[in-house]
Order: sequence, then structure tokens, then C-alpha cells
Amino acid sequence: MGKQNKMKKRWGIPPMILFLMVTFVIIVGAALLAPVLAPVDLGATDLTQRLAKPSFLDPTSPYLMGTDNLGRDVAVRLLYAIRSTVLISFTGMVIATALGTALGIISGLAGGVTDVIISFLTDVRLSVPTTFIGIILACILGARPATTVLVITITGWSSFCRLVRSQIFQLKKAAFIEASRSMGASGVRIVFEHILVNIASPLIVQATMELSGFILLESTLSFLGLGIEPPGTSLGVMVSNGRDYMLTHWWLAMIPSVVIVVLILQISLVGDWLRDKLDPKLKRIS
Amino acid sequence: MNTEKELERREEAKKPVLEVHNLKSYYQSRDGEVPAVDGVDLTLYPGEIVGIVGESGCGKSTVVRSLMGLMDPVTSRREAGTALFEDKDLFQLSEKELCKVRGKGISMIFQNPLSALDPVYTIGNQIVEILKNHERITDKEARERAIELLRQVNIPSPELRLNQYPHELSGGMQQRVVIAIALACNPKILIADEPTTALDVTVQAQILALIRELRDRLNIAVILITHNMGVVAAICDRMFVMYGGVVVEEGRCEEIFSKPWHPYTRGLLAAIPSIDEDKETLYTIPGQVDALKAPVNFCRFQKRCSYACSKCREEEPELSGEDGHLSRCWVFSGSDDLEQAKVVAP
Repeated sequence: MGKQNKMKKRWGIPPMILFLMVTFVIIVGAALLAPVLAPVDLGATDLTQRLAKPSFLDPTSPYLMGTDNLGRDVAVRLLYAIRSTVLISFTGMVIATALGTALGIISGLAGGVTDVIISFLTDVRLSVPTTFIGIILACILGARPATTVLVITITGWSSFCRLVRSQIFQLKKAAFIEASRSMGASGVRIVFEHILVNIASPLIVQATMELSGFILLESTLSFLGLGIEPPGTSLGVMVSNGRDYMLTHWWLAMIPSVVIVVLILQISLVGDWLRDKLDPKLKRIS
Repeated sequence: MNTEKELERREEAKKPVLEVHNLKSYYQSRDGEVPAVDGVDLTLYPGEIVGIVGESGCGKSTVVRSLMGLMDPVTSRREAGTALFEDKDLFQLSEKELCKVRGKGISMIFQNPLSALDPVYTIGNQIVEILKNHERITDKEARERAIELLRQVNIPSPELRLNQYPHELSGGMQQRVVIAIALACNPKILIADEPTTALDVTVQAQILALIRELRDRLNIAVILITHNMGVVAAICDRMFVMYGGVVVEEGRCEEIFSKPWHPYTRGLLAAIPSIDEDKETLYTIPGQVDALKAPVNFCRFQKRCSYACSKCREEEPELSGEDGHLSRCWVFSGSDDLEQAKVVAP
């Protein structure tokens, strides 16, 4: 009973957050299962069914969200689009987090010249616009999913590096680090069992917050034609395609845009909640 | 047979557990090296509690941090010295060998118990960590040992505490946990760096009683660092008074408290407020600790000393005295009386 209560207290999820999480999992889950749910050839077109109205505007239409300018089912394409957007931005986030954390740890622990060099790199990275990096890399490496992942990694690591570095500067002076050193813990053990575990919460929060930014970045790059190339699709590609029909067939651009907004909103709100939940200062008060 | 064993035991007790000789630890600063510790000798016997007293910056913490190899190699340097522990010189050990000594041979407790415990692990995890670090032991055995250790430091219902986080305990309980962690691997020496400063007075007394009780039970040697003369008087057998990086007076506590030699020790004792006296202002030693630069060739206390003479300004006195009561002073050494003093102050 007591233990259950405690668990509830620690992980009591407000209904709003629970709703956001569940809908996010449903959307992303359906998208990831797209090849199973709707095994179609993304390149196949049907010009006879061109620009059909969605069924919520025209109840006789067989297409839930209508068709695009090449007669492809928007609902199916949307699933594939979410799939590639989420996969690319999530992979990018994982790599960026790992890289940024590693560099932050090196920078924070080594100090001296190493720290100056890494901090300088962070500043350089932050002074170059993200889209600029995207354009240059797409020119050199070609517009491919891997390029987008690379762009996300290159633009994303710096904020993790800064966070980890500042956390380590605080932790290095913490008495419990010296205490465990005085109890015979080795340097490696301290990094993995004390420093990494202690910075895990802010890191998770930061990663969640950044994920929404990466989704936006991926969409921007594909919108500009620097990410996924046809016949593959992503949310940005769909917005870009629909843009030409904005006045006559507004749903083509609006549906993927709304999905982008919804995904980012879900991640940001859950991230906000996580931050409050994992903040050790707030935990100590409650 | 019995007496032989008894004799052996006494011989053992006479053999020092730690012998520090001529320890010098310097800090790097912008205008040269600061002699934070400048030639300290310290001998520690099993089962005794030794106090190191002195004001902030006198080098008392630097002594023990140097011993444990916890100094930052970038900003500080060990200039000289040997520290014999279990027939090994601590200063010659590699970092890896030192890791084995820390926690197992010598362990340390700190001023602020909450910050000395990792906030993300439970009490149990933190005790198990050090046990598994130093010994081959299964999780179950380690947990049982952890409960035993918590019981040893008088923590009620240790089974429940094991699953609690540091911030869920009171300050006194936290310090008990820190002591339990320090004792986990049966160290020979316990270094306590101002263990009661962050606690309130009643809890202070409990923690001091606990340290004394553990000393009696485990025959562990304790180095207690403090700036509180009351703490020294309460539990220490011998004491070292430090000033400006050197020991200015050492000896048995009762002797120093009844017959202090060095003017600095006298000042410290005079500064203890007394409940019986009705005074408007409390006594303070005039002046401030000097910023010193190596090498020092004068008495470090002479600027604040009311007995200082020309010799004090020209040459640094050696520790001298008799029967283990030593003082580093030209004027008062081997004498507690101004009339009997070797040199009469001008």
C-alpha cells in the first residue's frame, strides 16, 4: 500500500499528459507500421484520381484525406511521411545526444586547452545558421535521409555539449564526488556511476525538447528539397507539394502542417512535464 | 601464554598505524607558490583520536587531502614528505594502488553529509557500491552487511533506511550513513574533516559520542579536523595545533588545555566564550593570517604575537619540548610561564 502510494506520487501522470502521450504513441506507432498497414508503392500514380476531395468535405469520396496532384492517397502518404520524419529526427537526436554528451564530458573533465577548443567549436557551430549547414551538406552529399541525420547531428550536438559541460563543472566540485573518490572509486567508475547518472535527468529533458526542434528541422529541409527526394516522402515534402494548391485544395498542405504542429506540441508539453518531474530541486521540496 | 599475547597486543598498540614525515604541499598561485602545508610530522597510533585544530586556511584539510591523494594536480604540488601506512609510503603509490587504500585502509567523512551522498542513489546502493568495489561479495551478502553497518552506527530500522534516498533523512542520520559507508571495509584510519560543523549542537554531541564509541569498539585510529576547541576537548586524546601550514603545538589534550605553551594556542583557548563570565566583547586574536610565500624564515605567528622579539622575525623556531608536548616558539617552549621563558619579550 505504502509503496504503491509512493510510486503513484513519483510517477503520477496528469490526464492531459497521459492523453498527449497516448495519442503520440498511436500516431507514431501507426506511422512506423505503415509498410504493414498500407503496403503500397510510393511511386505509383493514378492521374484519373487526381486531386480528389477528402471524405470529410465530400462524403462520397473514398479517400479519407483526398488525393494529391498525382492521384496518390494522402492518408497513406501521410503515414509514410510521419514515419520518415520521426525516424530521421529520432536517429539524429540519439546521435547528437551521444556526441554532445561525450564531448561535454571530455570538455568538462579535461579542462584546460581541450575545454577551450571544444567550447570554441560549440560557439562556431552556434554562429552558423542551421539551414545553411543543411544546404551545404545536401550539395556535397546529395539529398538523402542520411544527410538529414548528419545535419541534425551537426547542428544538435552543441546544446548537449554545453549542458553536459556546465553540469560537470558543478558536479566536479560536488562533495559526493570527492567522497566516493576518498572511498576508493576509480575515475571511470565515477564518470559512469556518479556523473552520468546525475546528469541523466537534465539530459533526457534536453533531448525531448530538442526532438521537437529536430522534427521541425527535418521538415524544413525536406520542404526546401534538401531532405527526402520523391518518390519518398516526409512531412516537409508533403507541405511543399501542397503549397502549389493552397488556394484550391488547401487540405493538401494543411494536413501535414497540422500533423507537424501536433507532434511538436505533444513532445514539447511532455518535455515540459518531464522537466518539472525530474528536476531534483522540485523533487526535494515535494 | 596469556601474558605473551597481551604483550604482543601492547606491542601492536605501540606501533604507529600512520607515520607522516615532513609533508609539504604547495599551491600554485599567480605570485608564486603558497606553502599550504610546510613540513608537518604526524604519528598516529591505533585506537587514538587525534585532533588537528586551526583556523581556516591553516592547512589542516590540505594535510589529509594530500595523504589521500585527493589534491588537484593542476593547482597544487606535493613538495616533499613520506607517509608510512602498513609499511608502504602512500606518496609513492600509483593512483590504482591508492584506490585500494582509500576506503579500505583509510577512509574519510566530510563536513556536509547531504552533499557527501550521491542524491540519485539510495542509502543501500551507496553502501553496497563501496563493499563491491573493495571485496568480492554477492549482492545479498552486501545488503546484509549494509544493514549490519547501519545498525552499528545506531540507525533505527536499517532495513527501511536502505531503500531511502539521502534527502529523505535528517542531517544527523545522513552523517551516520556517511560514517557507516566510511566504516564499510573496516579501515584502520578514519579521517573526519569537520564532521560536526554542519550539524546542530545536540546532533553534534551524538555524532562525537558515536565516533568515540566506534573507536572503542573497533580500535580504529581517528584524525579529527576541526576549528572547534570544544570538539577537541570532548573526544580527542592528542591534538595538533596548526598555524600557517605548520604544527605550532602538539601534545596530549589535557596538557595543552591546562598548560598551553604557544601564544597562538593560548589565543585560541582564550577565545572560547565561557558561560560563567559576564563579558561585553569576546576575545579575538588580533590581525589576520598572513599570505605566506615559500621559503619562510621567521616565526609564522610573529606579526600577531604580543610576545614577538627580534629572533622571531629572523629565524623560524623548531618544534621542541618534552614528553610529547612540543611547541614551535622561541619564547615559550617547555615552559608555560613568562618568567621561566628562555627569551624575555622586549
